Amino acid sequence: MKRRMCSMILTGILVFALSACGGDSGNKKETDQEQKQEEKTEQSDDSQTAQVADELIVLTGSDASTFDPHFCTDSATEIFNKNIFNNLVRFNEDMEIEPDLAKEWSISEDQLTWTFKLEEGVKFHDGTDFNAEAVKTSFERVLDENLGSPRRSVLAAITKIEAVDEHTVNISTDVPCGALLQQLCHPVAAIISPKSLEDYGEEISTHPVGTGAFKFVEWKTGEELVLERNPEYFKGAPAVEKVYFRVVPEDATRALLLQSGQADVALRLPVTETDRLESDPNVTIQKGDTVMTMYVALNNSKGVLQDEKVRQAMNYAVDKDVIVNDILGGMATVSDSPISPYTWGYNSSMKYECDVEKAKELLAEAGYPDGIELELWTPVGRYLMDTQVSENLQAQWEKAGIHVNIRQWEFQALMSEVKNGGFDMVLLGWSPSTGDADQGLYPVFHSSQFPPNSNRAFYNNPDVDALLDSAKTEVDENARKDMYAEAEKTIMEDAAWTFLYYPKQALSYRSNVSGIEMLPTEHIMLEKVTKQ
Amino acid sequence: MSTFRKIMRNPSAVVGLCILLLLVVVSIAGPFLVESPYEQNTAVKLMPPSAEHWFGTDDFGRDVFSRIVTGAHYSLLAGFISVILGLTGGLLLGAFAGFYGGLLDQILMTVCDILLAFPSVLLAMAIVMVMEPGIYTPMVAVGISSIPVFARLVRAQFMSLRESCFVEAVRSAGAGDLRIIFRHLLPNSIGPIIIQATLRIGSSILLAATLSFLGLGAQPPTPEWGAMLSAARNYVWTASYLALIPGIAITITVVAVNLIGDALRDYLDPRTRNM
Amino acid sequence: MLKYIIKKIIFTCIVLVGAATCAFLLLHAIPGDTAEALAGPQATVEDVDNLRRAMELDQPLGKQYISYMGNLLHGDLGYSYRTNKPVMDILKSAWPATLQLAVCSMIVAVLLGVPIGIFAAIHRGKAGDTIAMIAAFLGVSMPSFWLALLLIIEFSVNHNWFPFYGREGISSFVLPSLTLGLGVAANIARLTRTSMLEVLGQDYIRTAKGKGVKSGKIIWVHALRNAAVPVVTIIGLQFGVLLGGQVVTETVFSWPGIGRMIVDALNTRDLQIVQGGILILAATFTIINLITDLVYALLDPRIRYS
Repeated sequence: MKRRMCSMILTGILVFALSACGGDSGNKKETDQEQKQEEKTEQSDDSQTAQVADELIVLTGSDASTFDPHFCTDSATEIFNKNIFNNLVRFNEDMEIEPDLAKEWSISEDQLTWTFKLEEGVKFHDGTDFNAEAVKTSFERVLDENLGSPRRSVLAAITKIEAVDEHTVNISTDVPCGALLQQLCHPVAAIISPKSLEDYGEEISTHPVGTGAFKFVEWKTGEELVLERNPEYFKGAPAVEKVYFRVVPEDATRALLLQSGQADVALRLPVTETDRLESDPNVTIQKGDTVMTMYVALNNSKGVLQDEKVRQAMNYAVDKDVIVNDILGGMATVSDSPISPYTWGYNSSMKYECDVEKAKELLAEAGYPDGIELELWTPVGRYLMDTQVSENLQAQWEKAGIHVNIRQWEFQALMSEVKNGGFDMVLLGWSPSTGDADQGLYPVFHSSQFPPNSNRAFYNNPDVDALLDSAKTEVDENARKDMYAEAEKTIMEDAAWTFLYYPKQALSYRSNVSGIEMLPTEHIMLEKVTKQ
Repeated sequence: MSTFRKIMRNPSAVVGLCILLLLVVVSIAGPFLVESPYEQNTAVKLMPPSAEHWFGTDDFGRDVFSRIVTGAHYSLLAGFISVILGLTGGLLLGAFAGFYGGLLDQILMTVCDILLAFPSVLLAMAIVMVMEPGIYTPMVAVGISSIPVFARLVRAQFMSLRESCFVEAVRSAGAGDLRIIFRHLLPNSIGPIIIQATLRIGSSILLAATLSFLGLGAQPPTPEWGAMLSAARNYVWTASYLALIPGIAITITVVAVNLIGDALRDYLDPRTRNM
Repeated sequence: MLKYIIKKIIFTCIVLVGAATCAFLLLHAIPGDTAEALAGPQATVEDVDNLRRAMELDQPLGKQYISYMGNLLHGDLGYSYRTNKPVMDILKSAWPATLQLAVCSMIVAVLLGVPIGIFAAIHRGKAGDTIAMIAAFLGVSMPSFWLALLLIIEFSVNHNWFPFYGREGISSFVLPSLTLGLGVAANIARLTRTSMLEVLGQDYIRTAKGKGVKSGKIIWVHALRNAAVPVVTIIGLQFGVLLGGQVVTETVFSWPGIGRMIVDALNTRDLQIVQGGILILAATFTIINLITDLVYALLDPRIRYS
């Protein structure tokens, strides 16, 4: 008897649940259809301009973190945010500064105030107007210390934002700031709809409302992110209806899905996969440079590495071409400066051509004719082929009498231990996200930036400090460039690091896709993408 | 001696022991016999197995055969060291819990249950991350994560023996607690503990390899088998032999240990002895 | 019986609270500060400090623990530091993926393991037994991630039969389920064989045989029923092993489940997520243990009263 009652109740619940589900999905279908019809009418409107493809499937290796650009710190998510939001200015593929939401700009005579004329008639995805107030709200949000934006320092030079009128904004700094425009290109300088900040409050991180080419639709954690085209995009509506970013962590899997046509674009494939795909006529591989530089930070404040000659020997002992060609499959360029060619202020300073004999001589001059023993710390899986590069360095140094032991760390533990300064050498990468020498050199070479800041090599040269300080406040481009050239040359000669290479990036897509912009900052812009 | 002979009558034990001996010999003598497992020569990278490179070469052109041979000691060490650690810890905890019973027992066993509630991979991962990286770190982590397993087993053995007549007899003869635990209870319950320890070597080797596979194990350039498999993941399309050989090596090692464990169980466990 | 159940449930609760505490302490002992990990290696000290203050990560550990446990009692697992999403929402999307895979693998394991075990027991000592047991032996000795690679090479690379990525459609379940299920099947087969042999050797089976009961009936009705007790136990225990094994398998097969989520979150020190994920795995394991205990008590009345 009891049992029967139980089963009856259970059946009841089940039927109810099922009917509820059924009703739900039915409703959803209807609204879907309605939406489609609406979209169709829209489509016919601009059919004279371009054919709009239904969907674009992009495979990414890592999932999004936060869609609040003021809090986002990983380049994988920056790619999504860059397609949802706009900045006042932006980089093009050659890292030149172009207008974005600002049409034009000028600097005051005292070099302290920048005036930006804004695009008119631009609307946020929530229908509100983009204006000077929005710029002010966004920047002040980043600068609010209590809010805790982890990239506040990028805009920290700004002291005042003033909305002069609806479409003019003044940005002031206390001292002249040479890299201000570059800083405004950084993802953290994205303009968010002020209304959305009020509407969503804490939940803004999953409700991004920008002015960008694509609107946020849905994010399934660990699975996919869906964006849809913004028909009112001020630079022209994009030519795909929906973009699906799917999370596929395994490189080989991304390559296979692209090859089999189950996806249109695959981000960040390693060279082992792109080599294989290159023979496929249906797939196009686009390679490009980045602003990143890979290096071994030599601890300038510890043991034998305090000696400049030893540090130079570490550089001469390594044949960087071997690493670039054999391990990275050519997907890098050998370093000839502390910053990469796509960073503003780069100057080809000098190369440490591999010379094992010279390395041995330098070691002998420094008083170590029998060689030295050091420890190299390496992250695992953080940078492309990181442990492999470390193993190769170990083998190469061995030939010059530099015996190196490797210690492999999980990345976060590595960073927290490096702060304590107890290491000899550590393999790291530096990617100046403003694409400017100020960000490329100051944090990593200025003596005020010792750990816990980013000068992890404990490099200390007063001449370089002075050059970096004055270049920071120099607005004249040529004068600034000269200062950086000199600083770079000194840093190379001092052998602050073992300078390795500038990694390249690869974008792989089906050959019927075109118009994707790939920036050296490793951002992928889809606003001009087309798919036949 | 006669025990050993009896066990040796079991063919699986003979096979297991032979493989294990061979592995020990390989791991001790091997590194002197093969060419350098670290020598990189990218001119011959990713060559399939041939007369010159029996197991082919990896993505740096290093000889896979040399690497497998050189890596043997690591897996064996990982298995034994972690089990010795886990056994020692488990023995101490389990012995006291089982002998004294009461609140101490309840607390210790609750802690064990709590630790056992975590998947062992995650527990080992967390312990590795807490410690500084080094060659013994993964082994210690695997060892710690197996302490609760041993503790529960030892405790169960001790519980059942605690009330038995011979303990009463020894106690009335004036023996102290420690003496009873280590001289009388332990030898009498050692059988199942040895079985568990032997079988645990196998799973410890697997767990250590898993940690390496996840990048939290052996330090480079040690050619650890799990790490080699992890590296092979990028080459399943182009050089699938790279994923084959380290896996076979791990499996053979674990099979050998498990064969011995099974034979020991057949011999020591009276319930299955006659089957 | 009721008393037994209540006692077990109380104990389960204690274990769960202990597991939460243990996870909290262990995770906070891992070097690498959450705020630093979130801000990334480029952030300045001021940036990191601001962020830490804003996220209340600068509070003393004891205070953090009390507020965490307090929220936990209300069923609030907190927010992801990285995505600001409620941990509960993230678990809700990852948990079904993990559970479905575990159930599928267990089905594979039982469907393969039990018949093979029975088969081996019936043909004890013959070639069939030997082959089955060697296979089972290999099954328990193989690293699961290697098995995964082998399956991928054979069924995805060599023959494009099954996908080896993601969770779309039934076919995507095949390879991960096999990876996880085969090892468990091997365990189940070995145990089924042993306990069948044990039961078959007992007096009442011999009596039944002597009475002329058909051997098929003896095996399927009398023997299997009695051999089922240890097999049910191991299925319960192995379910926990399966959930743990998913950490690696989900990583290899890009499965959007709890295991992969935990590994990813560990790398970014998103401790709330790791903690939530570990807790749900531990809770499942403990609750399955509880159920196993209860089923066990049901199948074998002697336990109930002891």
